[in-house]
Amino acid sequence: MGEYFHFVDYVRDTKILEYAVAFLFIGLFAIYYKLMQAPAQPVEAKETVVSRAINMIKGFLVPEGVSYHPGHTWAHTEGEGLAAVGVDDFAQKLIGKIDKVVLPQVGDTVRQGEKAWTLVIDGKSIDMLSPVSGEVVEVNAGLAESAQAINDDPYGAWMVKVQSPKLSVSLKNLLSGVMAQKWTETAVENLFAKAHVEMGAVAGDGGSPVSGVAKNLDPEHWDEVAKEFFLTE
Amino acid sequence: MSEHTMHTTPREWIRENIFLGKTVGEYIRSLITPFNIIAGAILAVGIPVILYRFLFGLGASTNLSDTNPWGMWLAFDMFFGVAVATGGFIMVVGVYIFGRDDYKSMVRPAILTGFLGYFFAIAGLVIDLGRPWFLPKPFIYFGTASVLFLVAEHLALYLTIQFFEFLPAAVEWLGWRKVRHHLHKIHIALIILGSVLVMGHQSALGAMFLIMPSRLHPLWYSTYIPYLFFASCIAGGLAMLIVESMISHKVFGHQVEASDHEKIHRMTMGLGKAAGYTLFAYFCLKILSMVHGFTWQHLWSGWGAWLGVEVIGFVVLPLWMFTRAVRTDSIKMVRAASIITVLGILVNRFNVVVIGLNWNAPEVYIPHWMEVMGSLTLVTLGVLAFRWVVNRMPVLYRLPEFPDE
Repeated sequence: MGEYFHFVDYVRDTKILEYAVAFLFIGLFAIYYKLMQAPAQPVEAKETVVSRAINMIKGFLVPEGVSYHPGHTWAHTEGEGLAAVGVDDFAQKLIGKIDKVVLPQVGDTVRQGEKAWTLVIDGKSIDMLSPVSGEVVEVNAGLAESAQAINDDPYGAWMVKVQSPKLSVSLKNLLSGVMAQKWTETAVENLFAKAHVEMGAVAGDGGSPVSGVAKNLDPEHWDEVAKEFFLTE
Repeated sequence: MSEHTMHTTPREWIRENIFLGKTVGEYIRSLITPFNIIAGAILAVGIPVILYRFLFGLGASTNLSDTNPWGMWLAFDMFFGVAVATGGFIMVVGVYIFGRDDYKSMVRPAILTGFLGYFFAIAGLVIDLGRPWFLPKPFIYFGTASVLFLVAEHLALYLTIQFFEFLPAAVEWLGWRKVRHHLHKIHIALIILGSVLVMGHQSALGAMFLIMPSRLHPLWYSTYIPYLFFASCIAGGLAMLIVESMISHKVFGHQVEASDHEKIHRMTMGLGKAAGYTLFAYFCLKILSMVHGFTWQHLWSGWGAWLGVEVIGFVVLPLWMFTRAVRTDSIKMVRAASIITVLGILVNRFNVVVIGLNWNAPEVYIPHWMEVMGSLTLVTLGVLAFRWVVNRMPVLYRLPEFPDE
């Protein structure tokens, strides 16, 4: 008790020390900033390509390790709650050369079974459904320049990456493994059934599908055919 | 809702929008919950306590004295309450000035929390000061040389601004389309004015201590104290936003849109990152302020140890936790760190306003039970008001008929 401080403002005495401390902290902040940017265990910036344990079902690639939505889109788990999504080989071959894609933006919400992106082919727009629900965290900017990549490598050219706290729930609704193969078989059979009616006989084994099957099927209303398969009529 | 309103009688409207679609009897029965019983018990004691204080004065209801004139009502209701109510300011500036539209769904709950926080802080101040009819005096006698004048004017103005910032939600609830449209026009002006005010009064609350260099303990006194108050209130506001959104998403989960549930993880992580940066800046400023005042010479004492508890336990620890949480993407750790940060603001404001200010006073101040009860009553009223509004107005969700203009 009775102790008392006389306040002195040591402006000059401490100036150099203060500058030193300030600069030290600015330097430390740069380090701290870097620390906050990078996750502790850097996630391998691996290419989103799905295992090439190739399964060719009647001329269509159905790789393992990918989950398929009945609207011919796929999802591939990239990390905790993170999935890359794209267009499957069947879809790509059905519609042929893609001119342009209209993708959602980072921050948008996509929902399983609801419209996620639009493909533009010969001036016609075809919507496709999202295989998972969540928030778009990354968009494949390369596709804006050339959508050709989707035709070249449908399982490498992901459209967007989706972050979802309940990714596992979304994935449970999708087809994979044998189920996916059976489903593709049925889709191909449906397609050939249509082809049979409209194009007459084809090769005995169905032949190898060419790019843009739908256009060959019905040059006028091929987009209707595509939408029927993509469940977006 | 407006078309809807036109076709309903006032009676039906009241039933739908005030009693949540229940009859008065049903509504009253639905109020009997464990939470409400506790809240009711607090109010049953607390409101008479506040009345008692106004009737019989501070001497009868508090342990304040001439040596210890600042107590719990100022430290807790005013200094702590206002410091953690900056969430509204942070979200509004982030979304409307810095264009972070991805946080838009947090703006309304943040403004509501901010408005109620300031309102009950001022209510606490009135209980402490007494004679509420003198409240308009700063607007009549301009004491422009006083920091207290700045605080008074700013709090009054900013409370008004927050009221107008929140008003669109209330107007949508009432279905007043035209008013909503006009409010939208002054929105951005309000936001800019409000932001200037927050920076002013948050630091001014600290600046009040500048005139007490020989009274406040040197480990807490600093000529940098306005900056310390401002930096800490941003950290406190961010932490409170995280805590508030965590509770809201649990309690009012059914009102929150599914897409917002998915976004909450990323928004929480983003706020946690910001809180980490802010605590880092605060820590730097605190060290700098001690260098500036040569005050580290007092560190080897009991007071130094107590400051150590405050800085290590409530600044460095949550700073480390926020950093770790961001790097490991752990929402649980962000939330835990936020709770510690909010408690840290409480400890810091008590250290400055009560403990540090009276460190060598001949008598030790311990709050009277009526002071504790008074503060508890205000917090309870704040929580009840928040729930009442959120259950009725479009705060956590948006009405489809009122999109952003």
